[in-house]
Amino acid sequence: MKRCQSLVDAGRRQFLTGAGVMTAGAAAATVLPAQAKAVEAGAALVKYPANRLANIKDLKANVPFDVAYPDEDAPGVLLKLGTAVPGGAGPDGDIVGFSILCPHKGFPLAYAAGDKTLNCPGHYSRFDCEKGGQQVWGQATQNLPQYALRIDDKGDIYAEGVDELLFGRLSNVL
Amino acid sequence: MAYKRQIGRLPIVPANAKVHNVVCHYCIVGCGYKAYSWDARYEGGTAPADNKFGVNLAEQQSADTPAWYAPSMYNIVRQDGKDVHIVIKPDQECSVNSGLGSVRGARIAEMSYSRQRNTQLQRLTDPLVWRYGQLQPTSWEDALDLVARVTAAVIAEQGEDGLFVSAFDHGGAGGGYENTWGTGKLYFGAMKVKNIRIHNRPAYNSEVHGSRDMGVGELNNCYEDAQLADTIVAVGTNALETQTNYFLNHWVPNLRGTSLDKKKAEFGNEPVARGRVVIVDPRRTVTVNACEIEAGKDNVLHLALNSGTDLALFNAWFTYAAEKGWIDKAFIGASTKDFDAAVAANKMSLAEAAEITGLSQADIAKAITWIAEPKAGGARRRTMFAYEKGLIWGNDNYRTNQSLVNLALATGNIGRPGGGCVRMGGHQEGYSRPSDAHVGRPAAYVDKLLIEGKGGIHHIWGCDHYKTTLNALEFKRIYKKRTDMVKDAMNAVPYGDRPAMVAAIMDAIRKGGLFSVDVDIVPTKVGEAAHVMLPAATSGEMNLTSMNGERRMRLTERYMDPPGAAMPDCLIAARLANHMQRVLGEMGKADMAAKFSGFDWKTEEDAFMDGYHGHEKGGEFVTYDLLRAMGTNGFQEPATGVQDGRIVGTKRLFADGTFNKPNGKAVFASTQWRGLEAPGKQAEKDKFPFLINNGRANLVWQSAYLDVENEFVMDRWPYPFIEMNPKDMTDLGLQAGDLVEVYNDNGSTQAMAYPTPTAKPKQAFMLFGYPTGVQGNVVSAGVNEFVIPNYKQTWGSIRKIADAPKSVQHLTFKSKEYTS
Repeated sequence: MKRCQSLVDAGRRQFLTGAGVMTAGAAAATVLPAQAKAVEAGAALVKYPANRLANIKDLKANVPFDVAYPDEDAPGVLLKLGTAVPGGAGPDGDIVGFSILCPHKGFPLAYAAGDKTLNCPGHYSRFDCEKGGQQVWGQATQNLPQYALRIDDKGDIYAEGVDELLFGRLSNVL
Repeated sequence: MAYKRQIGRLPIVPANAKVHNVVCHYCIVGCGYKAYSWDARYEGGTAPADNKFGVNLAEQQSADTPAWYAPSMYNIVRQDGKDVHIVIKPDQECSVNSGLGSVRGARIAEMSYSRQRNTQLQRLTDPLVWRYGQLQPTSWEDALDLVARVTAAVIAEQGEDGLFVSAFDHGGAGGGYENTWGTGKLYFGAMKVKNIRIHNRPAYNSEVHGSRDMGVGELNNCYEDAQLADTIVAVGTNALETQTNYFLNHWVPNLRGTSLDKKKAEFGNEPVARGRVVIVDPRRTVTVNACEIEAGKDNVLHLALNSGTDLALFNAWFTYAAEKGWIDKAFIGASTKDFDAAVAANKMSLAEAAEITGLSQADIAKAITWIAEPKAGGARRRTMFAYEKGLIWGNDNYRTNQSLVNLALATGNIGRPGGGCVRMGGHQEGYSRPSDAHVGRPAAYVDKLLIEGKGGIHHIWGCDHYKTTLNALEFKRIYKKRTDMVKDAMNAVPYGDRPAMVAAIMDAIRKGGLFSVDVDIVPTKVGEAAHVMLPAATSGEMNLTSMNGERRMRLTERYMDPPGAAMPDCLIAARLANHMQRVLGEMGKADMAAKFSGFDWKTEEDAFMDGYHGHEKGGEFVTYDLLRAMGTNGFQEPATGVQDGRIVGTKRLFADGTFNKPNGKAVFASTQWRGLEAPGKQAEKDKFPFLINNGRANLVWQSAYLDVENEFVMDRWPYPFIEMNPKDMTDLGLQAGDLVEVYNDNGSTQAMAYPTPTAKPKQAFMLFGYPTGVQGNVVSAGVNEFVIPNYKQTWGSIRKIADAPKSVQHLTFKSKEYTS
């Protein structure tokens, strides 16, 4: 994801208000997820859907693959980092997935392949994809929500949960 | 793995939630927040009618939405004795931050005392006294009786100079007008205490004597000026980290060019353009990076000068502007004096300045062109000068401060839109006290006197010398020894025998001991030495007024109960005064006892009315009711009246060209360069290989005292980082995250190596004031002529202690600079 020049020209904050994020989310959803289940009344925890996001063959090393989880309005990426990382899935232990809405103000993060970080053009926060989405520096009060991934025998990659609250929703599953 | 909360859902704020005004109590910017609270048994719903935001929360909300809050903005606390949910989130309507939350303020809720959710259980809940060899809880009556008896006994033997005091003088948490007045009335009203120091420096003095002596109060502009300036000059300030939302909400629009309409509206036909910025800092900071991203590299000039040489640079600019005639002659004539004398005294050529600062002559000239060259058509260039600890805690504080104000005055940039010569600030301000004239100037160097064995009792209010003073290791060594003498004496007497206890304490004091009373909200590091700890309330647990860096005064309303028996500092001071009066009466000292009258306050509002309302300029117009109605925008001090139920304030100081001098004229200063001014600094530089530059970090700026119990923060910074050039690390055999010892002749400390390619060789930068590695341990006792410390110019050696410990191994050590 390259930083969009028109975003800069318009002034990011103004551009991203209103339907901006919804648009970004829809555009990012290249694989349609299964319908999220409704929250059970009184459940103590959110019940996450198990959604197929991609197949291993879809991923190229160090190139973000746009996905959405747990529904089409929640954009994210899958990354095959090339080296095993804590929490990495797949035969090489190097596949990770993250929400790309900045947990500070909800602006879409852009991937910097050079140092494998996700960066926010709004207020300069950045998150390390090799360290569980730890905020390297920034304004967010949480590290980047990461997907719990499962990969089956066919190489299909499923997301089955998220470890932090997603920006813009008070329940990760709406 | 990075710390994750595993929170996938939060309670929804119901439509009928209570709302309180909140101003973030951490840094000076004072961002507006709102606290929403409601009964812990219930929550709102996703339907628009069922939540406070009136929107459908079953849908994804957009960027910048006010209808979302992070887990860090949520907690369960006690309010009027009942459990309530609380959400404290940034206020869209506040002009300071326009809904932006900093990484500190957006954690106010999570950093509140909650037994229900186990946050900040470190908070002090009861008065503690040294009993049977450890600190034990007791009643307010018992603790204050002991403090009053020992204080009165010390004063009876040594006079009031035997009472040493360390006290906050600022706003926000651990301060505010109520609490500075409470402590001020006690020590400067009832008594005339001379051996007193401020929370972050070893004497009772101004950090900006230089500016004030010229007649120029240091917080003279408004935040909007950063949107209006043609050029911003940032000296020793890393605003993206330490005035985050001021930078994001007011500097960035100017650098991006999105405040052009505002400029046109304000300045009519005057030529305007996207702002430019000159940054004076030996280190490349994230602020420099952000400015380059927003304004383009062509509009950013980072002058990475030799540490401590700012004065030479400013004198060269002043000289150059005067020679070119890039000055405001009408303003100089009407509103100032001694300009010609200053030009003669401060003469510095570009060549001389280049030699001293290590900068190129071309860059020095380019900067002053951006600052002072008239715009097309001859219009005066509008330049805002902002400075902070790089100057204040830097070499030759007084003259350097004055040399920058010289330039701002000469170019007509004080009191005008798009101008100002201002400090950026640390905490909010909130100073209201009786006169401190008896303290004198230079004020007593309190740390030095304590190290020399002076004084018998030490009252500490919201200060932690072990973490945040200079020469800190030596201070701690002596302080521990002196207070241990008293502890050992107390251990030998039954606690319940008050006369024997006071006698034993006084006997130890006569032998060089020191009795230490610590008033704070948490068990501080210096509190390890205390004989009595008194639990204070913090912002939000009491009503608290302060002003921010543009003198914007607001009331943070009480939205939760203080922990246990904790009280506002102003009421602790009042109750101590009550006990002093009683004890002095019992001692037959009726005259002294009478001085402790006027402390019958029942609430913090009583202290406010007695102090700010009764004594401060414009205070007669300011009440809690009016402030409450003015929300998070408040007004800018000083107040000048009340109109239609709203307090009328002052947007900029000195707008009429009249300054704080008897004849109203600001005075130019003679500020000759004199090298590294504080004693011992040049020798230290010559002896040790590394500059140990030091400063603050976004995540823990003005919040570290609570952050030590915050998992999100301690996961990131278990130890203070020390940014080092990668080649220097290789030479020392260091890997990222290794623990290193930093040492010199003053002391030693530890830090965690953070490889930083932009760091210059042999120039390290260490996080200041961190509990797991105190940078002040290696800062010498050398101060300027007014006892201002010089933290920044510190040199030392670095060696490896150990490989990265377990708590460090999962950390990222990538560049902090945003990458597009």
